[in-house]
Amino acid sequence: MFKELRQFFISISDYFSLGLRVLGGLFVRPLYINETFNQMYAIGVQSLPIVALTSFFTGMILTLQSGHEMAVFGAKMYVGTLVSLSLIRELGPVLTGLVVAGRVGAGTAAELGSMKVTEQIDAMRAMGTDPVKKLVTTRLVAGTIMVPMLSVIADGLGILGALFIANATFAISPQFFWKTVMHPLTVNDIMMGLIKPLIFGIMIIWTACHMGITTTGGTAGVGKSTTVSVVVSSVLILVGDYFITQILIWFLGM
Amino acid sequence: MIELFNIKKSFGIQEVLKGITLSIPKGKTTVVLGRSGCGKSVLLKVILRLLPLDEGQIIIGGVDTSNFSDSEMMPIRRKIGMLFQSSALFDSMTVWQNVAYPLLENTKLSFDEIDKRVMALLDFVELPEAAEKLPGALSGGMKKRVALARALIAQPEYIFYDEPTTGLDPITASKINLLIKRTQNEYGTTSVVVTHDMVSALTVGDFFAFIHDGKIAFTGNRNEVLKSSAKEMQDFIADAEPREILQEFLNIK
Ligand SMILES: Nc1ncnc2c1ncn2[C@@H]1O[C@H](COP(=O)(O)OP(=O)(O)O)[C@@H](O)[C@H]1O
Ligand SMILES: [Mg+2]
Repeated sequence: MFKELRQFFISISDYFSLGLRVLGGLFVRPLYINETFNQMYAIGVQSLPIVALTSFFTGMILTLQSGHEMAVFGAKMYVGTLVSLSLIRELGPVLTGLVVAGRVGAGTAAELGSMKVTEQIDAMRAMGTDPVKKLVTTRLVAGTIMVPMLSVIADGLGILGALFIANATFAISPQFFWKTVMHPLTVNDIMMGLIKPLIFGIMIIWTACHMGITTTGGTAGVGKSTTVSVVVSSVLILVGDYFITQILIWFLGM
Repeated sequence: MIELFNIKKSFGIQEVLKGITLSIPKGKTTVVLGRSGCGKSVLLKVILRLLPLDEGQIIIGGVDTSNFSDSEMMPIRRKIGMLFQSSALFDSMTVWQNVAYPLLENTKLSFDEIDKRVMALLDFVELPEAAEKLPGALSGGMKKRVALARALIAQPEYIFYDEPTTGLDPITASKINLLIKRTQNEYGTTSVVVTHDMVSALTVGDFFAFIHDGKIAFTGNRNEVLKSSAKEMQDFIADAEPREILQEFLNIK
């Protein structure tokens, strides 16, 4: 019990020292610009189809569910307002986060984990490369840039899905729907919709890289790292979402 | 020349190295022998500081690196080529990219120059046709040869071989031994070969050190190894395989 607790605190401290090493070396050469672009492609572009699918259908379902409910109060016409606020403030960032945690977080933890257990990370160090800069910093920078972008795209496609249902099922005209989407939006909503995925992106990739490069115990260890990485980042997203929302409400006075 | 004084390394309560003192002469091949699990790989990793050093002093080419940080170790590591026990090739990169890696990372050589050197080394290890293959498509022996090419490409002053022949069939193993000898002759690098393969050791080694119970139990040249009266050394030789080849060495003495 004592040993496990100690191990837990060691890995928390490793987690934060990894973050410090990334920050410390962020602008120190070599910058691995090409590698960062490759990671942006892998994290951002390659996640696009699944993020698009998830958000488009979520927008549709959200409209379908809440449209019928709002009809009871005679507020059916304003379904766009509800959908746009929920998507931009919550569902866009959270769904994108969960999808990226599953797809990219798992992939990253597995890739770095296998590199660790097959001594490829040691080999890198032995050849004078800093694996934190080459493997972790590049991915973190890429994730920090791409997850917010994905989230914005998710917002857009979610609203598009909502528009489709609003028009097809509830006979709301696209012009009116668009008005009800844009009308309630404030700068604060947009801020919230950008800050959340930024933090989620950092948490997902940071966790995955930490789990990856601290993997021990052969291929079984790689499996364990991958699972833990997805579970921890999903929990961080959901719990973090609450705290970020609360803090932003204080700061932005919403 | 690499000098080790009283190197100690533990993992938790397990003391692996209990005070290794050893001098590795320049331009020769030093073989570090010892049974599986005695800490041979750990010793190499501690010298490269891939694992932290608990206690003791390491002097590499006159530079005391004992208290060096990870970033201070970088230039030292670039002078040392390391052939890992598992080969440790980057499996997302082709053979060419693997071999070119140290040059792509640490030098500003032109692509043509890098290509020339990579192909020359792939010729040296007799694998020129494998350049565009991925490591997953290679046999264990081929991987070792690619890893050797990668370890040599930056023309290191030192080269460490971690069990270069372990897990290979005798014919492939003797090919690797031959390459280690040719490397020694052609490049004159200071080599450290860590192994429990006595035949390989006697084939490639100039000097020998035997680790037992976390300490150097014996050092000497080939004759001194074979004639050694140290009990652990004799037991180790008595257990060595394959007997027929080993017998030839014993007969030569
Ligand atoms: N990173 C590590 N963490 C914990 N124990 C280790 C580590 N590396 C090696 N060991 C232990 O150190 C001992 C020596 O290992 P090693 O140097 O790999 O042996 P060998 O002489 O066969 O190369 C083994 O008991 C091994 O379990
Ligand atoms: Mg070993």
